[in-house]
Amino acid sequence: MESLPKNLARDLKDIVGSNWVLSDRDRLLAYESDGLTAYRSKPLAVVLPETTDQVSRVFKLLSRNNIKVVPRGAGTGLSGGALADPTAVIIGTSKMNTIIKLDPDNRRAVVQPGVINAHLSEAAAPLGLYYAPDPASQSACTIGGNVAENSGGPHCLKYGVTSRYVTGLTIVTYEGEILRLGGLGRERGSYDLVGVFVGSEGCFGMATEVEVKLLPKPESVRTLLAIFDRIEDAGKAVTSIMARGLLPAALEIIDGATIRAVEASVFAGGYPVDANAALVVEFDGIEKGLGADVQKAISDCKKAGATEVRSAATSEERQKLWQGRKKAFGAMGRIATDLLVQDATVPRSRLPEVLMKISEIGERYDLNIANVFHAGDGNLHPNILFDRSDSEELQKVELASTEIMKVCVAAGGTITGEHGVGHDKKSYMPLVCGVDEMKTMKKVKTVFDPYHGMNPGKVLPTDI
Amino acid sequence: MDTNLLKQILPVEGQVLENFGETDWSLFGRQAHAVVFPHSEEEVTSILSVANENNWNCMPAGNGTWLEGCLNTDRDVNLVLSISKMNNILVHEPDNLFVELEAGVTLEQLQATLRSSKQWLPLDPPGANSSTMGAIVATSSCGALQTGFGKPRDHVLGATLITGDGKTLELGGKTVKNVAGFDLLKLLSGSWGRFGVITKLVMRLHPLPEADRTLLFSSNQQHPGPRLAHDIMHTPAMLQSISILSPGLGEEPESKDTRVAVRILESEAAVDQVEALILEQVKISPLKKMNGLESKKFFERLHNVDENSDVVIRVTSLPSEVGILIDQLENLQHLVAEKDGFGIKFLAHSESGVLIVLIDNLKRDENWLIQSTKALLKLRTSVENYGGSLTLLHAPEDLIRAVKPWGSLSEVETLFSGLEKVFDPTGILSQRELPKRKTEGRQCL
Repeated sequence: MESLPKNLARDLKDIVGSNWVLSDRDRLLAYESDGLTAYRSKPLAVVLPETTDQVSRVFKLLSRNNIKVVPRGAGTGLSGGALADPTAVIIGTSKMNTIIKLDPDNRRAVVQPGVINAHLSEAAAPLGLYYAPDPASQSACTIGGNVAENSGGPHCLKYGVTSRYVTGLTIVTYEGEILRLGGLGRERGSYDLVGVFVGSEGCFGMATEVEVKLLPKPESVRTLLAIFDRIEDAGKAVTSIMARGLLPAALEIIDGATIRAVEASVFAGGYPVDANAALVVEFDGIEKGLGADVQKAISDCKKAGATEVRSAATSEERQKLWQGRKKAFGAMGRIATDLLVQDATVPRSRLPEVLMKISEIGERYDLNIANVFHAGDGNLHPNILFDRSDSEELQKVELASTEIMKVCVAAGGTITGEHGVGHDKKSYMPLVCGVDEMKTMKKVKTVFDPYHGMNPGKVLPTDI
Repeated sequence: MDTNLLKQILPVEGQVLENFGETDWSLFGRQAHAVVFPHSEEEVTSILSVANENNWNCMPAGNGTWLEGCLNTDRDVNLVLSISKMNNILVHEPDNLFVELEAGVTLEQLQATLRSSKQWLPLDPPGANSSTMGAIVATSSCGALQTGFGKPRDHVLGATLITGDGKTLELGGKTVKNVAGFDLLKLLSGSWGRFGVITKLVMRLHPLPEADRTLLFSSNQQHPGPRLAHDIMHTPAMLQSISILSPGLGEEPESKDTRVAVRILESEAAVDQVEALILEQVKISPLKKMNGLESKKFFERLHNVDENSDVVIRVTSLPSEVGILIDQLENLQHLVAEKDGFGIKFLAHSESGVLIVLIDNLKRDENWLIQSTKALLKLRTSVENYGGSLTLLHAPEDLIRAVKPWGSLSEVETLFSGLEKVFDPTGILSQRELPKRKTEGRQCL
């Protein structure tokens, strides 16, 4: 393994402090993968700066030494986006965790990238505001990571994904230049540089300050849990609810395998273990409007074949109804050593046929595939359970993943809805993008990062 | 310029327009050599290839309703490429809440089609009825509804772009969530045709709201318009639009008061409760309450408030600074020729921090250009000192030349010019003037 040259280590420590340059093997262990543990590689070093100026100076130093850079938030990503090869340095944002400004007058906040998603909403709560994008990992993932991945979450059905909420950015390029993009009410020129930067997976530069829009907290929330014997029926209920013009805040399906895994764990939420699907429906907004919407949704669920529909009357009951959805990934640990959380999106009406095909793929490869997904926006998360020490099974996981991606694309969907391409899915990019599109993406990256020093080997296939 | 080359590509009569005089297709009274109306993506590609080979300056356009917007007055336009004949709605999947259409479809045409499925595209740009969807996206045009529903970029799921060098790029898809690769789609919105010709779009749709209600408030000394709008903004509910209307833009033309219009788009069950929350917040009664069609028509009328204006300016700022900027408009009053009782008019979408300023009768005495230039540049400096921007959307050519459509770009000019080279390496699409660098210190958020 390569080691960090001593003079470079010294210069980096001069910038960020001696405790915040990590280069010994034991301390690098925590940085060898992100949430996708199938890929592992220790970086050359990890640097933990605290300010935009420090990031700029660190980048200048590394780029002059021709060392590549991989930005990393909390490491909760599920596409290997924060994976660094042994010659690259990870720039962690864990010390850049200050909420710089909460501005209720303009319903916005300015934060450092290491601020944890849920902490922002907690800080804004006394002002009657919150930050809408809510990835499942929101208690751990960072706003900077959300910007890099253009993260979604269950409530994005109604409120949209991260790019809808990011209004301005301060970024640092690989060469250490500090640039300010956008800003609420700060329309300089017309090209949407903020929009193209969000979701660039750390390949364009690193966001060091993020300005986001906040929303007023909804007056009321109503949550339903509908139980089904067949997952197709849950899909039909989703289609009926959307087709009649209702816009729930969330529509989430949990399949039977996941229900049983959660109910057998400490996270048990009281779902019937013989059910083959559960649908969580949540409405939020003005109290008076919710009652009618809830009744219509209950009616749609029953017509689609729900055997039972539960309604939460209190906040505690609401948490319980969400338990099966929110703790699904954690509960999987009981039944397999490793879990590949896949991510793909299809037009909502194609969900039943795609789910059937995923089930067939699982049977064919003799793999357990459990499904938990954002049904309202057709965002599937097939969870493939496996043991990575079994090389034969690992190969089957890769083959099954490829087939799942092909099925989703053939149904008019795409290879990732919210986890990003990262390292994991770059070989799938040709399924959804032509050569001209990918070459154009590479050229746009080059505009931001002429030396290709930012997060190398991610998003685009290497032969582009 | 040999227009026979174009006629070989576009054989149908009427596809190549020449010698059209001072019509809607003229630019400040001058003519491009030709206006072309392709019927297919293949024709667009062929036109751009010929334009590249012959180094023709090309301007993508829709119906030509805002042809002079942000025009680079220093360059001749050889060719206007209108996608107005590519106007078919291709696929509408109500269950999946999306529509795929050719970019020449007008917003009015689209909304009429969607209505039968009780769906709509919540956009209300100026001149909404005749604007094509391609032009709305390319110019990122939006109106009062941007407060609740966002800008065009928030509604585009996919697009086909034919770049300046004739490549066809299929961007995005048909699903709301899609993070496969870098989000080039975002670059189309606000690109002003500099990156290519948008030929197809996939747009995200919304259910048509059951209830449409507008509350119109009158401002007074205790409740000046910006203060009132600011208070309304803090109602604990999602409001779809909050607009401040200067005298002359309200319901009664003779009124001297500033009005604040709040639009509530909700379910029948919720609309009364939202209204009650607003009234509790501001503690004054509305001057007028409009429901359904009347509410819709009120806002539709605002789409065209600028159609007779000599000068149209868009100022952006933080929402909390809109009031300060409205006060500064007093410094433009001397530019108005005959006081028609209103002078400078404005329409502010306050929660979005957007202020549209209208001068209907620009004074044209011997010093008008110097005075107008000085006043607008002074206002731009002031706005930029607040961190905002001033864009000249429409004005006499001399004034555009003197003031320039956009303010300074500061440090991102390199990114702008780099992106233009990616999509249009030979620069044949650079008929729209975009901002240039002005040396200044970097700003932090």
